[in-house]
Amino acid sequence: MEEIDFRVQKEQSSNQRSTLLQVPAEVLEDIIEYIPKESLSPLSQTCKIFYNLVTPTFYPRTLKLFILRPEYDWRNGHHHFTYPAKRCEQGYLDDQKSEKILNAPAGWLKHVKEFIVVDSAHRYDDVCWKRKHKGLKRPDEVVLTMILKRLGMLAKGLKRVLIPRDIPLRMFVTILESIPNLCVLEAVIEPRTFYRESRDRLPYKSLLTTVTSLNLERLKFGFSGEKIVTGMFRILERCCSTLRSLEISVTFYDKVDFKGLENSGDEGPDYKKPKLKFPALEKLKIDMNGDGSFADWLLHLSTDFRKLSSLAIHAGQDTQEVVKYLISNGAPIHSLQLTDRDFPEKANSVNLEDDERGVITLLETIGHLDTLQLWSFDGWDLKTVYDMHRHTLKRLWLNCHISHNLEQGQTCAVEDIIFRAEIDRYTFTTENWPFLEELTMPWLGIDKLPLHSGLRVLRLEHLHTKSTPRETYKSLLEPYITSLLKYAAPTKPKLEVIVIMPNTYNRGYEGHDMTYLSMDYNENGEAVIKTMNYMVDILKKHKWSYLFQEKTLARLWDDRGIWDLHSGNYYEGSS
Amino acid sequence: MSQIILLSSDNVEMKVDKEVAERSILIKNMLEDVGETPDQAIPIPNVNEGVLRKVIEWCEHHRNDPPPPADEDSDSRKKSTDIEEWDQKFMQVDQEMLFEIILAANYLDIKPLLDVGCKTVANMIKGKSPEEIRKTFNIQNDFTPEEEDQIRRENEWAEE
Repeated sequence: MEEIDFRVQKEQSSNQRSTLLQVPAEVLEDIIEYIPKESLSPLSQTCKIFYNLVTPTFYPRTLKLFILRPEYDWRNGHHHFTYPAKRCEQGYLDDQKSEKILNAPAGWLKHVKEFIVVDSAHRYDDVCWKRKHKGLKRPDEVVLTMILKRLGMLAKGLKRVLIPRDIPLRMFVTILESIPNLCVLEAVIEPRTFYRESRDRLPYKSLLTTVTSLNLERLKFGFSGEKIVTGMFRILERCCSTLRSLEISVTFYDKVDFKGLENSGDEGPDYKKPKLKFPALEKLKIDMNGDGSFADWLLHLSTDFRKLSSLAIHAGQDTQEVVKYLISNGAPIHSLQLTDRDFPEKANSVNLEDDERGVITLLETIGHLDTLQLWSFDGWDLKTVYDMHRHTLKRLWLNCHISHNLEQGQTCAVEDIIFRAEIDRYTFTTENWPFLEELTMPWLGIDKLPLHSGLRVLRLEHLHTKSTPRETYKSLLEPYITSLLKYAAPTKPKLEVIVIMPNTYNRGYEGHDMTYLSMDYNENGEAVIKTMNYMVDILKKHKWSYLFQEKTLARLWDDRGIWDLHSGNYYEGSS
Repeated sequence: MSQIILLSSDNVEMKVDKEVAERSILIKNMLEDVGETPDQAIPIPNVNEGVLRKVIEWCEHHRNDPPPPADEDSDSRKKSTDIEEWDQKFMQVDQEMLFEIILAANYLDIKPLLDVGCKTVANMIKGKSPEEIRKTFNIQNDFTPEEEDQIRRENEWAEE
């Protein structure tokens, strides 16, 4: 199907006799705005000038393709579908929509700027190596590849492709090579396909030899296994000069010798990797299992971080070396998220280890921080952080995932050392934290909740130790709201949203989504739902927003450009 | 009340209350730049006497209107095409005059008048077939039959 070129200059038009068409285009556009949708189609059929003006307003700019699967409704506790939902269920492409896109006339597709695959249950940010399900079924994969190729050919303005879903390496390469003006790409390369499927070998070879630059501004991708690291590095080589945001989620199955990779056999023995330059990079997030050696390796092969202000590293350990390297190379970091993926075994250790001391020292070297997230700070001495940064911090995330493992009678290191000691000194009041807008902290009881009139969002980790009965939490919310209103009086506190999060850390990816809450809390499932519903009622009564669903949450944080470790921020701007 | 003189493109002078003339953002900014009320006539080179009189008539009638609310971000497609009665009568002119008024409102930057003009035209397009629209506005069909056919098919796609 060939596309007819209707691009006619107005001056050349034979339509000189119509007074309407003598009006400048911007006024015609004003007129079009007042025309109801159903009258646009006849107008577009009148002449070329109107065809060109009208069709961009009623042909799609965003195409969404859904992956269908049964859903689970946690509040009602039943499935929408008759058969039981499995968390790992593969899902299937929406046939009708796929067919429509494949058969659509060329002109109808030419204004598409954004292509999104939507998978309601799949969490992009979740640990890809923990996923048990496979990617798309083979026929669906073929269809999706055809759609991508067709869009690449017809939709010249296609800039964003978001596939929050495992796709084979070959499809990833297809996207890179067949969509010429791609700016934003999000996708995960299916774990292990490269090892299994010979179909991936050829695209991979081409990846190693292609040098044309990619104009990506934002890349968010995941891959696994050291065998394709070199190929992924080549992708970065081709787009590093334009990238403004880079998120990598990576998994390695064994300990990898990255030094040995620097001259792997793929490019021949004489190949020397060039240094990657990132002059436009503003946000960097690296998410990996094990230690920070991948990030360490990658960044030591990189240079020029003059705009890098937001950094998130999500790894088991040894991440501060990476941060140190970036700071010493001139990255003007003011947003830092250092988090820990592996569950720390040292729940009761209160001794500062060198490791943690290192992070504190690191934080002292950063002049201005407005966002800070620390995770797994068991035993960290936060005094310094509070001293240095509480006058500038707008967002503070203190995640804690320790106490829920404790037996009766045991004390929690975090609760006792960090909060009892430090929060008492730097209570979260307006005076102590003048710019604080967003705070995430473990739910530690009413006396530790922030009485702050400027706080907009409060997230409470629904922390429950085995020694704390669940009921105590629900009885605390109402008194808290009352005392906050009293604190901020005569004005109203700015607090808009209270987010209560489940304690999720030692469960798989599914635990990050409240949708599955009741499935995960086997013996106490019902009790948790009751507690949640009770809180919803209280918040409703006070006309407060409540958010339990990560999806809604993601939107909220995205507006402010924050990286949310729990939620899939692929929703950003695309909802 | 201070008055200013406007000079139409065909060199006709018109005395207008300053407040009325300032419905035009172009004139308002111009007067602000000058600082004081000028003695000489302000030339309006793109607008002839007849159209300028019409525009002034509209400005006179709407001299006390409050400034329009600035909610630009609302969904443009939902814009209402309702026009108040006086404006409807005002716009009952031949097509040539209608577009002259629209062009003048665009040039003089009188947003509410431009809106009324655009709504009037939109109402003339609403609910008509392509052929009827062409007839109304004297538009020539510059598509080949093949092109027409293709557009029809594309549009069917969009209507689902």
